[in-house]
Amino acid sequence: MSSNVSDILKQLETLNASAGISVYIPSLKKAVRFKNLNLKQQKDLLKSSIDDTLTKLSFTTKFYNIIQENAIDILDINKLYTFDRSAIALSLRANGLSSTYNGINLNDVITQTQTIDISPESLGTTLNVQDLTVNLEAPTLGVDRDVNLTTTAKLKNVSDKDVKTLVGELFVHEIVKFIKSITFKTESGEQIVNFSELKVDDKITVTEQLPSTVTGKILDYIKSYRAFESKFVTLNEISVEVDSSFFSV
Amino acid sequence: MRQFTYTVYLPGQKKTVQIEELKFNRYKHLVKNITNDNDEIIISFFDELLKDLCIKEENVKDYSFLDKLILLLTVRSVCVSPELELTGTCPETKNTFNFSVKLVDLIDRLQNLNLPEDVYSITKKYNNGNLIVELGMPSILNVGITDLSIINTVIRKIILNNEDVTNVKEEIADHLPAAVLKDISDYINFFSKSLSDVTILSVKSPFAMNEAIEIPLNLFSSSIINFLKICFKRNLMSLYELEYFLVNHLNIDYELIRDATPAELNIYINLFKEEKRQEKDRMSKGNKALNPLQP
Repeated sequence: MSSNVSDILKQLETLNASAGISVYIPSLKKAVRFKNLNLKQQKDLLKSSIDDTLTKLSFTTKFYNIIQENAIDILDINKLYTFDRSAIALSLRANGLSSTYNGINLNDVITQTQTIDISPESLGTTLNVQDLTVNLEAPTLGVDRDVNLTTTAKLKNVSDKDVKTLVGELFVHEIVKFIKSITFKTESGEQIVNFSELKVDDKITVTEQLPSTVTGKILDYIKSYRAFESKFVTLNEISVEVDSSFFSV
Repeated sequence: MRQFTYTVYLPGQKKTVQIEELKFNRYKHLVKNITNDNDEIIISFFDELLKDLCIKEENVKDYSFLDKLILLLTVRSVCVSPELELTGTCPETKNTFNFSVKLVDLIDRLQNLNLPEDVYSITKKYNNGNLIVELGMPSILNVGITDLSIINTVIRKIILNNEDVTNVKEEIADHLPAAVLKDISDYINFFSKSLSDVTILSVKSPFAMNEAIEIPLNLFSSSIINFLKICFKRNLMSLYELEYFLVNHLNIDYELIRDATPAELNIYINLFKEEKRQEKDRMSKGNKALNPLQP
């Protein structure tokens, strides 16, 4: 029997799907079936380790595409949170490549992520500073990706050596990911700016106008969220850095 | 007309292959490329050369780097010269010294490395045996340490649902499970470790007994391609001078020069030198006969 390339690719696709794995998604509190990584996806991730030096932008964008391509069950990935990405990465790495990474049994990390309590406080908060009310929310993968694409485009011509520019851009872009809405209280009433209705560049423009007292409080929340997020990749106080090098073999 | 061929045993292929001659014209192009010193072009030239010289082999381009090295050293030995004359620098004293290497000895050593069988090839099964991938030594002569192209060259055979689909390897490799990459990585580490102590060449310095010039058989350090360049390198101008001399002084037809091997042209030159030597001897004897006082 002789098959043409498209037949062979279909057979491989079927084979990969039949060997699908069950991945626990913390925010959904349930498991979703995924195809394992293929060679191209892993090569892309490895290449992003060359693209990414100070940032993980290339990795997060490529991994977003992988989640989209490999989910077998129906899944709105734009509504997943960034800690879900870590959980998916751990499972794909453990099942497709090796369950051991830097001496850590990834399956143990995955098991303990299922016990983490995801309280509403972890996923958002409201700040009231003077006449401003800022609603903060943990970044979803959709928001994270949109902002990262804008950041990547802006940083395309910035050298890694130009650390000041790089850090400045990343700082604002990181804050933007967490803002859900801003309410300005004026004498005539309230004006609500809903960030989901704005383009990324407009979000940045608004964010850059916030007083430093507000950005300081936003940074406090970001810090607490990142600490919460790291629980999904930590076991016995040892953390796994989920970036492109995590997928190197 | 059947061309003259010679043979060499390839350990990777586990068979003896026939090789046609490297003709002067092709050699000149090779020397030009080596002089130009673009490794990518030189590697591609070597691949094309082997494809043309090993006419009975269907896929010599996919043979392992070790087999290709043996083939090219054999071509060099038979068609250019069986010895490689080099100048080395003593690692300790920095004195230079000349030495020559018999290529047949190098070839013999590379054919008998006594490596474990799974260094040459290893079979891996995935998805309950529905996918079988055979891995083998890379076929490229030089690999950058971050060069992902090595992945495809390590995959030697793919069997999918009992069908051999190796002929579309390039098109489907990216769609194989990522676990293949892990096995490729393990295999590359394994064969690199197995070859870590193997040298292509090891020459002791006459100035320091415990020091030797060594060229390792390391695919990741450019040592193989650099050694091949040394083997085939020659002053380009000397080739033009040779052509000029053979055409203008020996009146040899250019077609014959073009189709002869460099070693054969060397024979013509040696015959000419011998003729001149004999002529000189005859003249010297003649002069003696004319002058009985000459000692």
